[in-house]
Amino acid sequence: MGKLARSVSIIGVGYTPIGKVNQHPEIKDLTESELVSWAAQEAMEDAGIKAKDIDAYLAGMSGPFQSANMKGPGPSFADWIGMKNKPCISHDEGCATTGVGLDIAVEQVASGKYDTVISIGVNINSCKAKVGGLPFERNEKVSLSDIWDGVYCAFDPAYEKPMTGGNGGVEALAVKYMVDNNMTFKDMDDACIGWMKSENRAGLLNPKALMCQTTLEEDAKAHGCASVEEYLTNPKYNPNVGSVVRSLFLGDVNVDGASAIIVCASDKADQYLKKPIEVAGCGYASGMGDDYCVAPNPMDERLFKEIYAMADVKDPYAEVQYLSVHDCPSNTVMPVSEAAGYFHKGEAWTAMRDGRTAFDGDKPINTTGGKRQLGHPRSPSFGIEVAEAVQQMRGECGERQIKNPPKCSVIWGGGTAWSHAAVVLKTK
Amino acid sequence: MAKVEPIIKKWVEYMDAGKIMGLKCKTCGQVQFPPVPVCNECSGTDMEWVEMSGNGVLQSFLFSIMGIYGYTNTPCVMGYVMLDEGKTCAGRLLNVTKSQQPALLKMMQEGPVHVKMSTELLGTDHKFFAFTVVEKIPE
Repeated sequence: MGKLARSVSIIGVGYTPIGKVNQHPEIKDLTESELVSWAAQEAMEDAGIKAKDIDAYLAGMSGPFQSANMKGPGPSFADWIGMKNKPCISHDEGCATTGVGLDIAVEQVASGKYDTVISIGVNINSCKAKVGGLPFERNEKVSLSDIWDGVYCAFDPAYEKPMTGGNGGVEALAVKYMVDNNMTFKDMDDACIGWMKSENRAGLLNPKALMCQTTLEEDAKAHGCASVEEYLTNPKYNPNVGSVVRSLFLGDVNVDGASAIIVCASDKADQYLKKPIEVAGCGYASGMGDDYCVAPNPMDERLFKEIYAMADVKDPYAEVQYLSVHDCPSNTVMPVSEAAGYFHKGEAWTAMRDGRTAFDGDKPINTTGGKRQLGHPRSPSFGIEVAEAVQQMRGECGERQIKNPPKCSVIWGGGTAWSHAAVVLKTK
Repeated sequence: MAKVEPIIKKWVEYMDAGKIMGLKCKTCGQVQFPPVPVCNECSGTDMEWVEMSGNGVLQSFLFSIMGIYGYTNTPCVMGYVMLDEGKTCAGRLLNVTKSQQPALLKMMQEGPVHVKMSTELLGTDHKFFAFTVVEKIPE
């Protein structure tokens, strides 16, 4: 693994409000093409660049089944983002899609082939489009079997489906963490509840988190519970859907939205509006999830080693000041954040329990509100978290701004089944 | 000249006959399980069928509320195992119930929990490998 052939920076970020296109007025009746256009325009405005000045684009959409009846959607999006007849790659790496898209965009610029590339991602998951119908007529509900049929298609058909039950085994990472750290089931609940509290506070301060409108205290009261703890451990309102994963600890996958990230050669980035944020390290890894019982997970061990070497990060505990982890479910934040070196071994679960991961804590993670409070629109997810990290580093996050804008951030995402992606961002 | 045989079909036929097989790399000795035609250790492609020892140590587990999607709807506990051959894999834990998970977790925190592989009918027509915990698990 070598260094990039030339330095690449993020010059513009954007994402739509995250909610339901059949429910929230902010995004009502929008289609994939319109959501993508919104996110791309926002990123271009953020950078102060026009579409005609962008050389190529990556188009991510995760499927099949839930989303539009589209296949390889990049060409369809060209006109909607002003990139007609320009080079495009359509791709799908599940919830890591826009992470891989960002990496490829960086590689395209670092190679010298292009100077400026945009990575976009979109999914509508709340309702299905009709085959052959108009794309805004999406009245059909997405059922649980629609979701599982779609997720199921991502696994290796011969081995991984029967080996892992078809749910991919991410939970095995969390149970392994409990084994290694002598945790009880109550300890795991306590850590996830602490995490939910921190994320809820952030989500309420994120105007794009359309799904997050109430405090957990209000939710508890509305369900007749005396405390947040009582509410979030009540099997009626937050049932176990696995060994340690409860339904509200999962990301909310029935939401819609799009994200866009623009990268540019660093030596050409100063002409644009915002202070460029350098992509100091980036990478991705793939494989079956049959080794999700090994700590640290071999994919992540390789990934973090590579991106830290690229970025000259020698002591991530001291150097990384903001982390984003794909928290679907919340339980996996512990093993991944420790694999990233953001916490010492065994430290993450108490940090989550005690609120240290909140935007005003000493180890902030996912100040968007994360996959439950902001929502989990699948392919745009990584791009959204990159946008948040960039805005935190610029000091643009308003009430949920980290007190000292981070100078070094890491974003990690995992997509079914299985692509992991991670980037290191640095303030130049 | 490269050529790949129908490995999955042959593997399933072995299991239907009660044999759990892997593919061993003739170059480095690493066993690929479930079997694939390329060694993920040394990239060798000269492989031979070998019978698995059937022994391993439980590393993690999860409760699959929907069973094994596409095969059975019966909820089950899945085990993630390090086989004696040095390869990880996962399969149903035949003698672990949902209510035994806390006891199983405690056992794993106190020391290695051993498993034995066997085959079971999965779905209707074919067998797949599964595991049984060797040590007694408290109710």
